[in-house]
Amino acid sequence: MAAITLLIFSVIACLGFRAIEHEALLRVYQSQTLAQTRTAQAEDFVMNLLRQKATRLDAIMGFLQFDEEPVRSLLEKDVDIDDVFVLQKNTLSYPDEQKPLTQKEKTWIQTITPLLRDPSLLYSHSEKTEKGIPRSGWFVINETQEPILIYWNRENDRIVGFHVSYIKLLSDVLNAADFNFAEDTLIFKESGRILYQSPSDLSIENRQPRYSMYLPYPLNTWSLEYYGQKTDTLAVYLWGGVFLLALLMTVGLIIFRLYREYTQTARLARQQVNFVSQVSHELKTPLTNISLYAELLKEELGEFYEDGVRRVDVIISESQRLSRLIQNILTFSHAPKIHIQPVDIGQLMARIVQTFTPSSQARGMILSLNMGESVTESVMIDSNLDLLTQILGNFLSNAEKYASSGQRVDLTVESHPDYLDIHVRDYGPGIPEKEAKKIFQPFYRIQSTITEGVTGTGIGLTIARQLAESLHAEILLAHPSPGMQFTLRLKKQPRIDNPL
Amino acid sequence: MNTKRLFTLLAFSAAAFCLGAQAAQKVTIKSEIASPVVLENAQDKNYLKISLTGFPLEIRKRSPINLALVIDRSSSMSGERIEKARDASIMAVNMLESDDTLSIVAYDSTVEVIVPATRVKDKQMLVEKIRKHIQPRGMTALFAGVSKGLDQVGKHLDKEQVNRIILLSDGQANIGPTSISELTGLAKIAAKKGVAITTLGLGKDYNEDLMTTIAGYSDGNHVFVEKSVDLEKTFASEFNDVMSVVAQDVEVVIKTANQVTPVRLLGRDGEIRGDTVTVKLNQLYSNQEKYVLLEVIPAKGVRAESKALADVTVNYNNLESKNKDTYNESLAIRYTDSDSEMKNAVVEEVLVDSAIQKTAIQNEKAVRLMDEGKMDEAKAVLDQNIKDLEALPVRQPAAVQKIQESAGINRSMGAKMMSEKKEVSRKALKEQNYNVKNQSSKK
Repeated sequence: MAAITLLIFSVIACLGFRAIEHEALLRVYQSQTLAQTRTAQAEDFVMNLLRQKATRLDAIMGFLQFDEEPVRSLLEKDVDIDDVFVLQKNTLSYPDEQKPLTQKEKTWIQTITPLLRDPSLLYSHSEKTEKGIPRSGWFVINETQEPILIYWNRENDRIVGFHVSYIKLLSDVLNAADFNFAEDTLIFKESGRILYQSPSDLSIENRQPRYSMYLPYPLNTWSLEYYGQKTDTLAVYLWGGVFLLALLMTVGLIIFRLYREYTQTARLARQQVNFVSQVSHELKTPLTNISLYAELLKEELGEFYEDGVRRVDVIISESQRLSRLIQNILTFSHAPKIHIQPVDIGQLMARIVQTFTPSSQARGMILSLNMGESVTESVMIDSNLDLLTQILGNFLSNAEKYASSGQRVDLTVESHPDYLDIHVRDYGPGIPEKEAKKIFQPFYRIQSTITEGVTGTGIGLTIARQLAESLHAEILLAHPSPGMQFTLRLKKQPRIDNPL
Repeated sequence: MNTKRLFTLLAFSAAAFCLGAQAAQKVTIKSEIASPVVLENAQDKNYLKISLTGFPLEIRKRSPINLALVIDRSSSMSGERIEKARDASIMAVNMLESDDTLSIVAYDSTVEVIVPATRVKDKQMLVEKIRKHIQPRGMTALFAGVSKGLDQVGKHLDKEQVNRIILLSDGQANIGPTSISELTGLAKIAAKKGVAITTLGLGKDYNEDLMTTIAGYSDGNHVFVEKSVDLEKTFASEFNDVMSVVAQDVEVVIKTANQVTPVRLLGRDGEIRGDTVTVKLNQLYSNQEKYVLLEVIPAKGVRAESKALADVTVNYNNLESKNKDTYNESLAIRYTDSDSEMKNAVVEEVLVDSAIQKTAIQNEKAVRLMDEGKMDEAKAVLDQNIKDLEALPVRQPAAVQKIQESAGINRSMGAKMMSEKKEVSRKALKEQNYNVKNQSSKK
């Protein structure tokens, strides 16, 4: 009982804890996914700005004459472009080194010297496609104090490179960034320093990193970091724990109530049985005296008083019947010790028939014994005579009580190679099949016209089954029409353990 | 209606009409050479000065202003500073008219656009917003602040109005991009867009190198406001400038003649490409002189010969007439063998200006010496400046007065260096130098 309770408790506790853990994990996972989505959104935003610039520069490429004057006036006015270089068949055609240059132009040429020597460096970072070298792309020089961002565009033999203002990009990002995630915050970092931080209601101490990523080339020095409110798994565990505890307490209460009800019933039953067995014991002594004196009286009467003898016989048989009843009650309350001994079935059957014939006749019933052909006069079975007598006696008393209308009871012994069957068949009203299972339960009596007006304790069959089990025998039920057949099946080589 | 009054009214409108119809005013441009007559076969340094003076402007005819106030509201601004900054901003609102555009940006750890660029119509609402939102907190995201200011001004960019950002800060930029070169990059973008950034440094903790460079690249003003009580006065004088802009997008191109070498620009910076020197000024103010000073080495010549020195072209947007005006002049020098003839021809004012610009270059050295902790050597540089100025052989009263003024400033700077804390005197010196280089006559 305690073990089962403990098991139930631990199963509930275990499952409950797993559920709580799952919920907490789910929360963490959800916030993680949210962080990831929002960071991706921010990445899109930055990369979009870059794409817009590329599109614009492509458009400028379309109409710009790459002569000195137009390029110079473009540089003067365009806030996105710091410098331009034009490579015509791999030689620098703008800025033209043959003409006087400003200090700024000289520095610019110096910066891009490695690119001028090997223009293929430009597309070293672009995705290689099967079509060959891409037509435009980004290139970044990070070694300088301020990264130099170059957008290049290739057309035939001409490569144009725009030095895109990095400061303008930073400024565009700052001006256009408009993220607001209430309690969470998104931070744009560039080379480790904070560039932009979305406003947050929470102070930094109450936030924890959720997700971070680096932007793709050419902004690979940029990172996006997402900070969120500390996931409050503690609350989940706390409330989950409280709920689980309440659940356990309820289950415990239910089990306790059930247990109490059960023990109460059991105690009540035990008291009942004890009382009955004590009473029976007390009854046994006077009964023995009655039987004894009745026998003496019968002997003394001799054969002179036929009437007297008949009456004494009734006293003897009734006291035998009462003795069996008492024996049944005592057997029910105290399992008897079994001594296995060889039992002569033929003798047993003869004695039983002899014992029951007077009472059967009194009820107008014929008791017939039929030893099958296979049964020789002396079939010996290792069993216990008293118990067998009691089992068969119970069958017969039932037949007398409930099936007297059939006016006949057949006792048949059938011997098989492994076992021996003793059938007790009556010709009464029989038992419906659905009731058949319950008749072995203690104190169970079928509520019907059969039992009406018939006295009985309701423990006869229960005892029969208990005793049969202790002898490793079986009781089988059959429903022949009309009537009922009880079969006691005895194993021929029984291995008998001590009873329960 | 009274006939007499009707007549007077008519007369007035006629007068107004005549005034409007009269020839549009132009910027006064003078091209002068320090020594127009030089000794034969000599190749001494000579100075070319192109001075531009804005014409007088009636207040009611001033151009509309597109202004962004970028205010530092970091926690260091707490107390009187933020109060004065609020007062100054409110004053700015009150000085503007309904066809002016104003935006207000406040920055701390992040940036907030308190007033997006709008016409100044509901002044009460603007004042309320200023009072509510300009409250100190957080760090100093200077880059982001200027960035947003530029964004706001950029939304209503128009060549015919005065586009300007007034940046107020009392501390070091410490969030986002903070280096001088990065903020300079932003100033360059502003300059390309034709937006001038005026920088006001409050107290003794701001980064004067940063603030002067930002102002320098975009041709705004720079003022060291030592005490916050002076903030309103500074704002007023800034507004005085902004409201008196008469020309914008000024470009001075000097093309030197054959064998003439352009050496360097004194003061205002520009671009030298071979024989072509280009200097850009964002704007000219009414009745204020701005000049470009170029050091050249003239070609050799013989006595009585006259040779071309340079062709000067000046372009600008006249805000009054809304025209693009152009000015052209060719300059030549004459050669002589007489020392006295050479000396008599000297244009003293140009000579003095070049000397004053040189003192500014010397003063940059003095600042570097101060940074190295060599206060005495820095002071010696200032003293030498005074000696150099006073040794100039000038007689004309105007030139003499200019020398005395400049020497006086150097002297007071030297005194400040001895009496005041280093960070204060350094800021004063930086501001002074900035004003000399850009000829802004502040204070």
